[in-house]
Amino acid sequence: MRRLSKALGPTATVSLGVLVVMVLIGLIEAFLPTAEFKAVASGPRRMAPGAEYVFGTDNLGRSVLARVLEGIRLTFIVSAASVLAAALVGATIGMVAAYRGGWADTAIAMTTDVLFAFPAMILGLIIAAIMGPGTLSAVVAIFFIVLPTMIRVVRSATLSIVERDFVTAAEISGASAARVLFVHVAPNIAAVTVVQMAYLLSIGMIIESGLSFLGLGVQPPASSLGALLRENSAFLTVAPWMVLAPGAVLSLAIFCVNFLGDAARAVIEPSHPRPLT
Amino acid sequence: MGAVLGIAKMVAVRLALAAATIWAVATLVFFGMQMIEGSYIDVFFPLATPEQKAQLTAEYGLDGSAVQQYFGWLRAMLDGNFGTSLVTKEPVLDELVRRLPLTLELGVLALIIIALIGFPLGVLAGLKDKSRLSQTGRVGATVMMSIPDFVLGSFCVWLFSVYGLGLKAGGWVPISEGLGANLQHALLPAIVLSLTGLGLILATARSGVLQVRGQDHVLAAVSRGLTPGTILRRDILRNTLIPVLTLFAIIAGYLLGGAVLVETVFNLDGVGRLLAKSIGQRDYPVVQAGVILIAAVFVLLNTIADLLYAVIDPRIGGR
Repeated sequence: MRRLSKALGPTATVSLGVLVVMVLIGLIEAFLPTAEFKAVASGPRRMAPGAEYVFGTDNLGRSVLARVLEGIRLTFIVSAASVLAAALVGATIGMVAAYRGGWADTAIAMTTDVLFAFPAMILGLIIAAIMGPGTLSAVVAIFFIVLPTMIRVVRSATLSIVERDFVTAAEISGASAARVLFVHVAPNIAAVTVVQMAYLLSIGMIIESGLSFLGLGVQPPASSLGALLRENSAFLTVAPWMVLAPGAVLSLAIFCVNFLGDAARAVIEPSHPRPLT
Repeated sequence: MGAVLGIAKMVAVRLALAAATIWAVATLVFFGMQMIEGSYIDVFFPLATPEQKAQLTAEYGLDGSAVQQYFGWLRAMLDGNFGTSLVTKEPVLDELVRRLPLTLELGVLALIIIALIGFPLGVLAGLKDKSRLSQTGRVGATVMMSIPDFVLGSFCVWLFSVYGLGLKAGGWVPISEGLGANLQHALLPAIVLSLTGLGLILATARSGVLQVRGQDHVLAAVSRGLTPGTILRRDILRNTLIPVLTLFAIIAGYLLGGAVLVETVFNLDGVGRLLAKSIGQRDYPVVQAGVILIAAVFVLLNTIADLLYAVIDPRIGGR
């Protein structure tokens, strides 16, 4: 534990701690005694933050803190699931492209170029337009937004591995392409893939909350932090805590993910301490 | 002579590629919107009988096979007819063109803020390596990239509308009615829109300068006794400019997407908010035309950036 915190540096260690707490809250939220505070008219309406209600209450007398804790879960689930799916698919495609080369590699490179040509939010809007508003379209949008980055990163990492002696040795001893890729190459690109996933997770969280804020992502009664902001934004000037508290928690979560990604990259790639993404 | 021909050929290829990309987006969006479950008629006239629905479908031009509709739509677009909004019954092109100046002004203002503040700060942070300023720059850039536009936007709307700090949060005055009043309304949303790009440029310029600083040609310039100003201009800035330029094209695209959120938060009637609203209302003609318009602007920006490179760096033109 101490070694980990030394390698990451103080800010990243705090970030890691905050994220662990948030994810834990997301996992056990259903078992927390928050239900009574989420019930309509369980408290006074639009009460400012204080000792009793740390984030205040909303227009229907629900505790904003309880609703934020509920929103954290879906924010993490939607973005993490999409990024994980994109990482698995993207890593496979990237490894195969680099290992096979030839026309398959060219075709894959061209497809990622086209996907890359679109700014993330625009791609998200196009997908929301095609699929219609909903949680699923947010998931698909994040998947396609982060997929090309994953393919590129894994492809270039694989290219540097496949020329190494142990890969040649495996090939000579008769290992199949699948065995070479998943047994010999995959463990060597795992670190790069995981660090990249941290960045992509922060992008996923921004896209999810943005789409949900526009009413195109998570739909009520389900709630993510972005959807919560949308729901409460009508009360911004009369009860600012209803909007600013979930906004602050969302920004903090994204910052922690970003900073942790920075620190992790500095550890595995000391020559490249400052990422550009 | 050969170089001129080469450049002409490259321009032609790039323009053809841009046109092909825009066409591909148009096709994708058209057939994508065909797949949507529940048509416009189902959403807006849920109580109509099947006969009435059929009549309405014909009235709105939604009958005929998808392929027939597709070619009709393409042909109409080439004639400059982008259809009629299903919601407002106005020509789509009018709706978009009316809102375009607002979105463009926000984007341009944000780019100016990014260029004038983000780039110099990033260079400074790169030059003063290991200082407190440099570390603040690094963390500050991450903070800027971590706060979603609509969160900062909401914060600013609250701050400025409750405490009245001079700038207006919401509402719009066109430039034609006075630059001062226009900026008073445009500045706040433009600043919010610029934040992520500001962070990105700051981080890129900083790491660009850090990398260039250690290179042989800079050390050689130092050992020749050139003044720091000359080295900065001749050796450092010129080499930092290329990655920063690439980023500007990317940021311009990002701003187009960010405008959707910022316009929504500040209640501004721009292209972005129209697009988001139309997706929710399933106003197909507006969504299709809006997406194509944004894709076209973005593809053109990228094409221009690519051509600019070839001018700055002759090695790229030769390929």
